[in-house]
Amino acid sequence: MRHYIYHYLPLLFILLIGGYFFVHFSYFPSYQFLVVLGIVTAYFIWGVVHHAVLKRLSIGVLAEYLLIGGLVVMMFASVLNIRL
Amino acid sequence: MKSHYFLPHLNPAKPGHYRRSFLLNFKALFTYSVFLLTLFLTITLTRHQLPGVLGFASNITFNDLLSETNKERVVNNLNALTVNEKLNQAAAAKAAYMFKYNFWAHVAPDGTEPWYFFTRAGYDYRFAGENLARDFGNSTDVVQAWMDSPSHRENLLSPNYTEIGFAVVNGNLDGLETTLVVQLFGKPLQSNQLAATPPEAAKTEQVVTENVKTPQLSIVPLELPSASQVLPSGEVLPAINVFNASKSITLALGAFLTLLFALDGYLAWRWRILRLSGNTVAHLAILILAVVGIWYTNVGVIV
Repeated sequence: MRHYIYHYLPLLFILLIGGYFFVHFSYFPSYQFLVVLGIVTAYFIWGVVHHAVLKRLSIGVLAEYLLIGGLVVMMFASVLNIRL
Repeated sequence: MKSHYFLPHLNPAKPGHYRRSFLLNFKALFTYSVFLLTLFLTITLTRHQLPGVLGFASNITFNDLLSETNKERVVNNLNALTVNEKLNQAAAAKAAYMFKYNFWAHVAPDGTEPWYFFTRAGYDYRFAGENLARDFGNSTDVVQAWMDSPSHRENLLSPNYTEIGFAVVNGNLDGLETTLVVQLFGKPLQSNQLAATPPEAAKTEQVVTENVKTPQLSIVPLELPSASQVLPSGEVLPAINVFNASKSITLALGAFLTLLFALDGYLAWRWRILRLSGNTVAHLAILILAVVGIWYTNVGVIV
């Protein structure tokens, strides 16, 4: 982990910026949901790049990021006051 | 073994390699997603098939809205607003219009602007403004939400206004039992101003307007809401408070997964586990953000 600690800086940046915009759009749940989609997409890309750089990218790893990302999206879809 | 459900363990198919606990493997993660998708679809379908069963409980009152609004104005060295009965009627008519035509916006899908309701109630205004809110639990949260939004705050703290009106109306919007709050601001046009005003078109903005002439509007007639529709006490009691139920379930699941990943990451580090999997720290980070975000989520919406 110490060898690639700098990998975590972009992830931290993604989460902080995403968190800022999520708070910024309080009371506007549709925008908040778009922010969540943006964070999850960036998180997935980060995962791909991170594992590709470490030469440990596999279908299983990709599937894990997709499943966690999908889960996070579904968590927010369940609670954000979005009307279809 | 039961511990395999919660702890990382050796993979029998790959000797010497570990894998995540059963509750964090692909099948489990997929199951959680399907569960949440089912919850989401159930809420959406119930809303449309059984309107009125799901909703948002609220305790918003006219007096609390007025006192909270004036408190904010006084704190900011502005005059307290006085209640105008015509503005109350206009607000009630706007709320009824939104329920009747099932929309949620300043301007209706048919093009009806907020100012129509002012003039229809017989309120000749020099300045007028409108704030809307729905699905809030209490009056304080409504006013706080408006104060947190720059455009609504500008309305609430405008020195142009001298009068105010509210409507707190219960009804069914998009299949959900909810409470709409309409807050109208105004400064009446004096009778001598009305006579001297040149016949120009009204200047309107989305939320705030200055009127120099009563605009001529052709609009579909609208009946004012009955007294039973307007709830001065603001009490709405749907069968199920959909937001609280969803939030509790999702928070519990999010916290459970966060703890499992934290345990997994800790043990992987302590046992120096070798495995080909996603980055546990990244998963943990996004799950923590999700739990905090969901905890922070408000049910109330403003426009």
